[in-house]
Amino acid sequence: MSRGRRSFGALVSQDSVCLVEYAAERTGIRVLEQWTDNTRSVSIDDALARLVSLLSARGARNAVLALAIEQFGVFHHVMALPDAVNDVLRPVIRREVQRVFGMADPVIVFTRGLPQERREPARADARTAPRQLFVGGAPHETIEALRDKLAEPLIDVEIVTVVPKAIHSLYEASGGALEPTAVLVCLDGGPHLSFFLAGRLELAIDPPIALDGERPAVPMMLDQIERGAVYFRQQFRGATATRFLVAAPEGEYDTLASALEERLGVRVDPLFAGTSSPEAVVAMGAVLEAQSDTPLDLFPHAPTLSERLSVLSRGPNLAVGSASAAALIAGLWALSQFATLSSVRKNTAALQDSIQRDLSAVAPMRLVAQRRSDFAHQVEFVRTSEGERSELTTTLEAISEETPLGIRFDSLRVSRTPSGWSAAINGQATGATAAQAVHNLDAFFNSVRTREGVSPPNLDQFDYPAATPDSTRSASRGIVIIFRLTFDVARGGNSEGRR
Amino acid sequence: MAMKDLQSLSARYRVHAECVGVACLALLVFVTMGTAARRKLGPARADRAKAAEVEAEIVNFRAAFRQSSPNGNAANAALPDSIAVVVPRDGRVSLAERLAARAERVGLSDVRVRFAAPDTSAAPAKPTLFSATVAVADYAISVDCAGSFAAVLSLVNDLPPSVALQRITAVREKAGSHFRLTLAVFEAAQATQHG
Repeated sequence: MSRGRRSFGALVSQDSVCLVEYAAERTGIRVLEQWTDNTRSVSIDDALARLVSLLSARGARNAVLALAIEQFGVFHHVMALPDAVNDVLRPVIRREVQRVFGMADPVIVFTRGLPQERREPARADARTAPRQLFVGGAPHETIEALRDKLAEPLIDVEIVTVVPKAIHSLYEASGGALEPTAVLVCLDGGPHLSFFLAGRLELAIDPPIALDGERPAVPMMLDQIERGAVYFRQQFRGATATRFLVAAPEGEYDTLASALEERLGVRVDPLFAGTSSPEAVVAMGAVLEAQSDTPLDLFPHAPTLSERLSVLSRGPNLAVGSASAAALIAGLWALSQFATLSSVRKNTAALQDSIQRDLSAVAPMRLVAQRRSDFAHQVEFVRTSEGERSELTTTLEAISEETPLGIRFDSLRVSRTPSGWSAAINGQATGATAAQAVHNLDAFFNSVRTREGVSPPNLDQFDYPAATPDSTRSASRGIVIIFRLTFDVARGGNSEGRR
Repeated sequence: MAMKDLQSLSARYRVHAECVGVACLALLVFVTMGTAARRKLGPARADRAKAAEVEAEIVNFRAAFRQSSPNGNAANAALPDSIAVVVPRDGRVSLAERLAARAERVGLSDVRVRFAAPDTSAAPAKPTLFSATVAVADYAISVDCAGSFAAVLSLVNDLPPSVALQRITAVREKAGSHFRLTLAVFEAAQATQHG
């Protein structure tokens, strides 16, 4: 129960709708007010509509509601079975309910009570000891009506339970004495009689089918109580209820209590004193049932997150859940990849647009820059060309100037190579004697060889010309040597050349 | 687990099996699409990086660029012929005329300027320009002349920058020395040129 929220208990039956507002206090529960609509309902929808109207009329917003319900096909059952997990117990209970109540496919809920005493306490495995089971159920239509009509966003339904289980909670709240006790709740639709033995609810007897709008008289109720007491005694080895807890209308309680004391010789006490009607008592029983550890709840609550996860992590749901989770993760991953790709493409497109705009803006600047660059390149090229030519002409001029007198060039060929220039000189070296002619050639050779930027020359031809008819004239000149000298002139001071 | 067991399980949990099937199909589709998108991411990122580089270059260029004065622009627009490094094809006769004039000016005689096939020696280094692609012309110019070796060297030094010396041939003859210079010509493949 949240602080600040109004809390209600209610009993819904065909004969009436009772609403009780209460407040939870440190010492227990205090009833604040109660309202009853005694109009007979023709259907569960009708009854629930009355309940919602009562709540609305009280201005109950954001209210917490615990509800007990009787009739409308709602049933209850108490049975004992060896304890087991719910999945094992559920089909057994379903078959038993189908057998007892003749209903094809009802909604069934159950909760565990106290363990039964074993005939042989020494038997092993306490987990399979018989355990009392409280079973409640209703037709699907009733459950769907509860879900639909109480789906108001301002109503928080804590529980929808059956009347005997509400009475059980009332009994436990009254102390749960071990003494055999009968609890009699005289509702408009008839008396509900429950027998408790050693603190356990052993027998719950519904009222007999009454005529519409006809409240059973006290003698009729006494007969029913007597029959119930006999049945209780027969079923539970002669057990006799020595105490009665009674909830009855104010005008009826005294008569009924006197009659019970006189006829059955039992002690009679009021059940849940402080409420004015037995319907309100049952409503408060529903409130107490909601607070118990093992409530019997028919309301189809929306599953919590942990319940959903629990369902998803079992059996074939595990495969579905795993596959769905994998698909979801893959989907998110694919989505992130697409988002990244889209973002990158958008960025690229934006950059390209920006580049286009910038290029248009810088086009005149670019033109100027290109013109400047071309100018600089041209100047540099001219300077390089002039340097290259100057180097060549200086070298050739120097070679020419340093040529000894006895050397004569017949031809000179200079051609461009990838690294500079290749030169070939055909000529004659003359001297008065052979030694002098060779000396002249050697001097020329050395002058070329020591020249900076010139590779060591090759002497490709060194020969004496054959005698000719006018050799007399040659003889008058002295010795002649025909030579061919080749060498490389490096460009840019590079002296690497042909060797 | 045998196929029969699988079929039995599928029949028993039909809705679950259908859900698993749909989820597996979705998984396959998502993985395929995601992988395809991831494959495209690499080239897309490279494109973006390239575009960013270009953008940065433009920004740097704008930051570094300094406007020149109107006089400077005019000077650049009208370059002197002395530094014109290319000759349009239409201007080759004019070039020949200039070469002949320079040869005669340095004291060479019997000057003959001819257009010839390109020389087979190594190609000269070409100037690099933004505004035009410079190529060595598919013809060469040869200058035949007579005179002194020194005058030939003077002519070589005085050649315009739009030609490159490829070969010098000097032959002593009875009447004197005969020289031939073979020149490569730089030609603009496109765009306008000065000179």
